[in-house]
Amino acid sequence: MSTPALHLLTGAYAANALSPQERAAFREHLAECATCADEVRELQGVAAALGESLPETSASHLRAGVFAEVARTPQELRRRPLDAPVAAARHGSRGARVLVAASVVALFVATGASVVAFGQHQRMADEAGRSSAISQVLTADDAHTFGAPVAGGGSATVVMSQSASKALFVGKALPAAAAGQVYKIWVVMNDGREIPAGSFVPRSGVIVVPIAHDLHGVAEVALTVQSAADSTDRMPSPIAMVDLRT
Amino acid sequence: MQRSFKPALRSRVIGIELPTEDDLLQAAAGGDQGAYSALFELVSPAVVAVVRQVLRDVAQSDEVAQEVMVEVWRRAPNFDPDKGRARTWILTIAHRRATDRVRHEEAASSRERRYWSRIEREYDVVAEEVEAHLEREDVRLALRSLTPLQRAAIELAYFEGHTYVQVAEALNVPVGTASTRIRDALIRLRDVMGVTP
Repeated sequence: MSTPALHLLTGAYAANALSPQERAAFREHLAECATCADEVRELQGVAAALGESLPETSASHLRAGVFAEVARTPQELRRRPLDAPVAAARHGSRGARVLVAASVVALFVATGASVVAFGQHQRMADEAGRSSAISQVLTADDAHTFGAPVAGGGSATVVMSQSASKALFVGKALPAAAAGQVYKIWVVMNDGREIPAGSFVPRSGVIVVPIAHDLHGVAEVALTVQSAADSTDRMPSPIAMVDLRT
Repeated sequence: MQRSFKPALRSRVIGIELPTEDDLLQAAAGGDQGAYSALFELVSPAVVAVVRQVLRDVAQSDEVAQEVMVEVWRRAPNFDPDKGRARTWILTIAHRRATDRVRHEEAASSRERRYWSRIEREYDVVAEEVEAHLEREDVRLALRSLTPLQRAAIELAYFEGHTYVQVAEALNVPVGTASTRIRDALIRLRDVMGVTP
């Protein structure tokens, strides 16, 4: 970020007035600067008070839709900050690991999905290699999940492990792609760069794809629908954004 | 179980402590849909209010508000009561999703038109609308204690969902000035209102 005084952006951050790139960069700063983190918390409280002063509007017409969605939406696992020491976190993380693995397995069982992935990166690799990447992440002591809804239906989840330096993309009930179109995974770096990290064609149910990019410096994982022939390096507008730094 | 409901009834008369929104969110974090349902009743009207303020379009606002409430359920296990109130956490998510949507719309094909039509709304009109709208007297008074530039900056950012760069353009000031005025405004409001995060 070219802005000289990062700590003066606490207000703009609390008011959600930063661009996505600036927001990602500022979050990095927050992780290192307790003074700014405290100030942001206070100012978010003030911003929320502005919101609270608006006249409330009935939301009863949303209730049925929300509850239908809630009933089929798994909750995030409780997670520690990414930089939490492994030793201190070990006990809880093992629990989390088992849960992650169990829930992914449960999804397979529940949907009877055939798991197919043939990202550009994986196309050459054999099934064993892919499975090993998947099991490496799912059995890592520090596996964490991050999720986001997908425009058009379904959900996108990223399971990542810092220690394995790998991440999986788990798509659930994604909308079918039109003929000639594929789903592409992109990683959005902390500095805003967008890099393709694999592609796949969704089948019914659940799909698990290893993300073909090192996790270092990745802020978000995005999902796009594109023509299979499209090999540009510019990311089209995504249908899901999974924030790894929330 | 021989428990009659009389003691419960009596304690209700004396005044049971109702679970707070923070309690409900933490219960929901453990998968309790009943607690989530109660929380929905309490906070969703404010969520809709915030989202509509920023997005204006009712159909889009409903869509975003629904996504926000599902996100609250999904992310509940990672709500940290030591870092602020449940309502702050929820309204922060709501405001962020609403501004994300506004910017996504701006980034779509109608970018220029939509953006300029929003910016062209005279700030005075915005300020008047906002003030007439606000239900909390302490917030109205606190906003009046700001300098005109602070007030314009925070209202364009929070109530209109502009980035600080757009705020700078709208008010014709350098971007650094816009970002510091937003911060100054929030700090001043905090001091006047005595808000707890």
